[in-house]
Amino acid sequence: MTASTLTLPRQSRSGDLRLLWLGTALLALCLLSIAALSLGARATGWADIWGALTSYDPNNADHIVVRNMRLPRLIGAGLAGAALGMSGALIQAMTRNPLADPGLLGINGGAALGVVLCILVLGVTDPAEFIWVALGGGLAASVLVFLLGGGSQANPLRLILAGAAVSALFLALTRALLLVSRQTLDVYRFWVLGGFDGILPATLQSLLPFLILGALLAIIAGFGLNALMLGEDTAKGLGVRTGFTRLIAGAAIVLLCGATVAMAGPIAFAGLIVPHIARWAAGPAIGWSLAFSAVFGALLLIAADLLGRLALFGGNMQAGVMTALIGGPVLIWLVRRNGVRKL
Amino acid sequence: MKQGDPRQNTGAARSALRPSLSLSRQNWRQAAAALLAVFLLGLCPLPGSADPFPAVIDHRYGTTTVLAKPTRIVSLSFIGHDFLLALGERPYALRKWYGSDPYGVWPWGHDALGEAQPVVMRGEIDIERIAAMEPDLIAAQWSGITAQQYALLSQIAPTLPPRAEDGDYGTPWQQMLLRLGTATGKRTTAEAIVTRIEGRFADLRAAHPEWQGASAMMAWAGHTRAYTRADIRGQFLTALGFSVQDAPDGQNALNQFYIEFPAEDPSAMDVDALIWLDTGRNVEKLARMPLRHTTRAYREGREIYADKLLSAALSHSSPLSLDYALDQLVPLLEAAVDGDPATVVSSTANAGLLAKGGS
Repeated sequence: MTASTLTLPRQSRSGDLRLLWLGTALLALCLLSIAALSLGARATGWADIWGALTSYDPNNADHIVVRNMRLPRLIGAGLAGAALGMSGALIQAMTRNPLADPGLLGINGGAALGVVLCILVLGVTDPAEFIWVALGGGLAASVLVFLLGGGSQANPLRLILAGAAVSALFLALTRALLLVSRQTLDVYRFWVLGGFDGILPATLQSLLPFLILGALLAIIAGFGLNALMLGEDTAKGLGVRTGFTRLIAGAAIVLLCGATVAMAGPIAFAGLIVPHIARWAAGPAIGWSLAFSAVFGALLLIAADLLGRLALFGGNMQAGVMTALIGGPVLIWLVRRNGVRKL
Repeated sequence: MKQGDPRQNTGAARSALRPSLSLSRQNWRQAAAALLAVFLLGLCPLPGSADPFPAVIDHRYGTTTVLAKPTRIVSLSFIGHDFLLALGERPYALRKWYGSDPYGVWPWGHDALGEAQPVVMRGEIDIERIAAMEPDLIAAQWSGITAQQYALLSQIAPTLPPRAEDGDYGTPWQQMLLRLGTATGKRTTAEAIVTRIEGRFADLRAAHPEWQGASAMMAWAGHTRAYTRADIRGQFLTALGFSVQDAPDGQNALNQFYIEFPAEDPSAMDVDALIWLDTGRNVEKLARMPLRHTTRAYREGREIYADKLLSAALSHSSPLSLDYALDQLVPLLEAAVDGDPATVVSSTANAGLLAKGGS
């Protein structure tokens, strides 16, 4: 996310140069993580941070803040950013559409409907209890999108249309339900902006398997997607099983994005913009662009969460809001300066 | 739409005025009889017998005149139906706030509601639907109506928004009741209720010198934001003598009914009596609040967990719910404010939220 990563030469570059930049980005990630652990409404010194991580004292308020509040947020934002970045890279490669966003597969819409039903029917108001309905709703909606989009024969255009239709339908249902209950609206309004406020270590733990499986599938799909980006026929000519590749990529997107929306609500924009920055630094090869997307995504969301925490005195601007506030100008600048990289 | 109605009304008013301008002999006789009636009424010593109508009420959007006793009241206020019921007026339609009751009326209002089955409105204000109800009074304090909505609603029927000096949801219960009393011709009843309940608060203040000036706060369980002095829940605590924090300077104080504290440093919430409101769903969220067990309120047993019913009673702060709220809360406050963990706050203990090591 530093300016230096954006001033790279545009043409494809040697692996060494990419490694250098990936290293730089990882270093930036470390520095940002330290900042995220040390900054906040409560002043904490180095000793507190070190103490909280190595010899945790459950009665020390500073330790509690670092270990139980800032650390889960940092990990949550990092994981969610990496997941959104990777799933964004996958869906843009799969649909060969630079405007594709993982939300297009109906995952956010399904999760939102699940959450609203959960608030309305079960009376749940604690976001920590939303994770399974959000995940379930997201998975169900994306399965529906895949079926409508033609299953393993899905072509990109049909998939996007099916996703848009299902998302619109679920959003309309969600809004209709919200009209009925003011209280549901209050809880939902907070959830839908997306953020890492009050995220629990237990939530991270239970979602980690989904994220890991999603990341593995993403890497597997990456091999086929490289060929698929050359076009359906070329890919087939190269011996790639296109239907299978799309299915694996789809499953990876759904797992990554579903786990993220369950963890933090629908976070706008990260999945759209991060792959653009990543491709700019990494070139079009899907393997590199996945790795860069993961690191840049984590950087973006950790920065967004940190700035959101510091932006308002004592208050809290949710990471989902900050992502769009930071990401929007960056994307505009990128497009105006260099144009969008072809997919 | 019923926008034709007001014009008809003004037409009727004009024709009623006309005879007194061009007086025929017959009209003279009528006028004399009317004068005599007014004179005789004035002589009557019965309290409250003076015709309370037309009732004129000032508010933030101007002045509302209620010409005759309303019989078809549409209540847009989320808590206002409680106040109407306290006056013995059953609203024709009401706006449900929350809760499992189909009419949105909580247990303290059930007797007063009786067998009545008011029309229930939910969500946003539907002006067309209200017009179709042909109301003769629209009670809209604590409803959040805008000037634009008022302009439309007041063409349907006399509409009662909050006072200019109160926020959307900050009208004190006394004013809510007195103004509805004026609008429904029951000012005397309203005054009697206000006197009785204020007396109860005064007795409690006198009986609890230790509460006077002690700090207290109401917050939703698990959240680091609390109601200000301007909110009706803050007003409740102030009426018992507690000191309640105000919104920070420079913020719009009228509608600033809560203050947000940083989750990392909620030390300002560490008051002499901390009341956690809840729908009954957030005990776990409260139990895992990261810094809660480092506070004095937690260690010294100064936290009060308010269950669903008590929280709703406090949030309604109506003449019907205040008695219930006081019955429930006063013993809890007594156990909390003494700062001795040995005197257990029963509701907090029942929710399993007491400090470990406390008895």
